[in-house]
Amino acid sequence: MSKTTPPKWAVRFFKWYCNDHLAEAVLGDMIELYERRAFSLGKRKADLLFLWNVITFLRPFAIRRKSTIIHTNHIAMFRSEY
Amino acid sequence: MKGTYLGEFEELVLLTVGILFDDAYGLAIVDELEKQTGRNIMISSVHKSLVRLEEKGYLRSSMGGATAARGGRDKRLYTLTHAGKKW
Repeated sequence: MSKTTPPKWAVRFFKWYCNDHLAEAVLGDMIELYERRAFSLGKRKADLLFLWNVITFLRPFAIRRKSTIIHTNHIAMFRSEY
Repeated sequence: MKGTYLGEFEELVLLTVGILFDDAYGLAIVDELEKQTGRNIMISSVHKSLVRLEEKGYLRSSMGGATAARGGRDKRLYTLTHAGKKW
């Protein structure tokens, strides 16, 4: 019997917006919940509920922040001037 | 450590972490809360409260307990800090 998996694009979307601190653990929880639901409610309903879970995590506490990227070339260029 | 005021739901989550002892992770907390309150609990609400409780210093977290049912992903396990136990 093949194992049901949640929609790949929903998983990719979640990994894209969620911050690294939470992503792995939360995704693991959602997948565990998905497998329970797929067993009791069927794949279609489990997919919809998984998608709903992904949407409900679109909150400030979970969203990845833009990191400040320091371009080392600029620093090297600045240092070379002085 | 951020402000120490706890909302009602945060209190419930904190108590549930205490009840679950060394198996307190997101989904287990959701299950226990649903069992205790008889209501549907959103997993995102629990995780939000866990993050806030950790920021306030009542909980600490560590990674562990990956299983095949979770796609091989680790769980973030929460435990009470000294401040959390005193509360």
